[in-house]
Amino acid sequence: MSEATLREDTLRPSGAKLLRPSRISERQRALLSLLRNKGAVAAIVVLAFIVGAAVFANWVAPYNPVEVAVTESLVAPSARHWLGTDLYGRDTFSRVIYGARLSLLVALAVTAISWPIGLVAGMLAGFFGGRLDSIVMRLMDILLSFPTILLAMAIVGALGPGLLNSVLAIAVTWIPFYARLARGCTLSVRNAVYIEAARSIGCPSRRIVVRHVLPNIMAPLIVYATLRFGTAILSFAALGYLGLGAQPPTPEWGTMLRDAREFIRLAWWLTVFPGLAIVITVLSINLLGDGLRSALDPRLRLER
Amino acid sequence: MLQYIERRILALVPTLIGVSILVFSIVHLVPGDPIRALMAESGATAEVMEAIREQWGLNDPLPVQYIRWLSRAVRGDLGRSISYKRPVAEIILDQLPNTLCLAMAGTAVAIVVGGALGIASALKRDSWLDNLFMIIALVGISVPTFWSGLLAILIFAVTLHWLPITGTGGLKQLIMPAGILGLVASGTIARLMRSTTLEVLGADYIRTARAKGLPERMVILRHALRNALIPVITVVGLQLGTLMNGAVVLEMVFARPGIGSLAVLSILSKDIPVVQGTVLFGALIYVLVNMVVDILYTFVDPRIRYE
Repeated sequence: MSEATLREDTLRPSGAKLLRPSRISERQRALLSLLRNKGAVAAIVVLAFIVGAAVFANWVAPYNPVEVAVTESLVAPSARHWLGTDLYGRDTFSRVIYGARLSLLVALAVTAISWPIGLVAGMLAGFFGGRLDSIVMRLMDILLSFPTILLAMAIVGALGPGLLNSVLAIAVTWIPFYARLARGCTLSVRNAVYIEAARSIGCPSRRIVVRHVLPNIMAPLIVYATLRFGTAILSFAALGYLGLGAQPPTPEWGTMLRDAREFIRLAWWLTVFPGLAIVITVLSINLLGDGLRSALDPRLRLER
Repeated sequence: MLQYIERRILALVPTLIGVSILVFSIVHLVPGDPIRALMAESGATAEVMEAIREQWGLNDPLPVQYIRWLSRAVRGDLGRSISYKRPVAEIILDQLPNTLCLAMAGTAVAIVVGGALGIASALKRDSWLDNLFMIIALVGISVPTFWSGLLAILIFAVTLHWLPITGTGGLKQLIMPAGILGLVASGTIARLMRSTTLEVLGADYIRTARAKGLPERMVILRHALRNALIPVITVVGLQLGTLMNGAVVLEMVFARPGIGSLAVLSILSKDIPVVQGTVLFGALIYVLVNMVVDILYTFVDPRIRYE
């Protein structure tokens, strides 16, 4: 790390003279910058634990998350049940861990659906302009005419509450955010000299889009996807809380908090711990996103 | 200027048509036959169901049904609720004051708290206070709104017994939901306020005011704040989505009647006309307020000119 820091320093214009022009690639430089950001490193460590627990939930969780144990109903946090139990005697700690698995999978699914669609639609609209642009952007305007939760609720209202339908609903509401960003970034590189150069040597449009536009709009879109990843977890939990997302007995953070509402006088732990799990996870993702943003944006990097 | 407003309003028409098509299609995305679902309990025969379908115009082609639905909706007829047995528009208007009350109280909290925090951190730039606010803001966007509501109940109602858990009416019932709604929306306002205040503080007229010997307090109150407050108008627009999203969730958390809880409960009870009505109404408000804010902004800030 110290050697890395040193080399990074000599590369920074604000530091010593630039003796050798970069031997380090832009990508490595971004990685170094990320690793020097304390918040981002802490976030990566925390996220590693969360992802690890989610992936190996079967081994990490001490109990079966849906197993009912009537004799253990509403037990306060103790050595046997670290985070207590709910009405049916289900272990909160185990449910929180399985909840992490579900929330991360859902956020991945939402991103996997909405990110590519938004990216391609926005990029093509921005690059080709004209008719295509107005059609795509008009569609996005319509989707943006709803407050996000209302649109998601409309879709869930049509398809019926449930895990998959709520994922689909969130994914649809996400598309315009990515499309707008992709379009804006494309517009800003469309008239760049290197695009003109490619065009002048007879490069076909398809090749220009894939080889020249796409790589150059990737960084902001990746950063944005990271920042949105946390929001996807929040939205999914909110739909779960409203009873429109995952249904009981699925161990899901929002659904757990919905059940906890009834016992808020009797069992504080049911309200506190699933919420803490959401906050820790989303906060780490946001810190990582912030770090990525400053690492991938050369202008922000120089300011640090 | 008038031309700009005119164009803004005209540009709204295709968007609103799109919105209405989307809302209309909700009922046709519902899996299964709505009439059969509705009539199953009453044990109606196939002939009766067919007659009802014919009477309600459900056998017509979709575009015809859409036009009919839209022309009614434009006249304020949003159909009848299945579970409340009342016109949807009436139910929505009944619930509107509750939600408006929450939204306005939340906006007030957001502007006061966000404004104060933003100005304070701009005046004490890079101090521990500024850094603390930045950390709080970062944590703030990572906390689900509904959990903040639950925690507030746990602390102020269950543990301290200061406030009632749920209900409407009195100011006491409004404190927790409005306070949380305001705090949720205040982060963006604080950030905006901080950056505009910083920008204004660097302006020439501030230097002039200082140079002519005005006390610092006067410089800030008379010259800096007045100009920094301009963008706050747009904040209502910027935060409208946050406020509406928050209101829906907080109404459910605090068991408050309102448009948000109406929408959620009607989804759960499959009362599709009410779902359609509330979603259409919400989108309409959202679009209109955003437009008004856009237009207001051009009045307030003469630097913005539209061809």
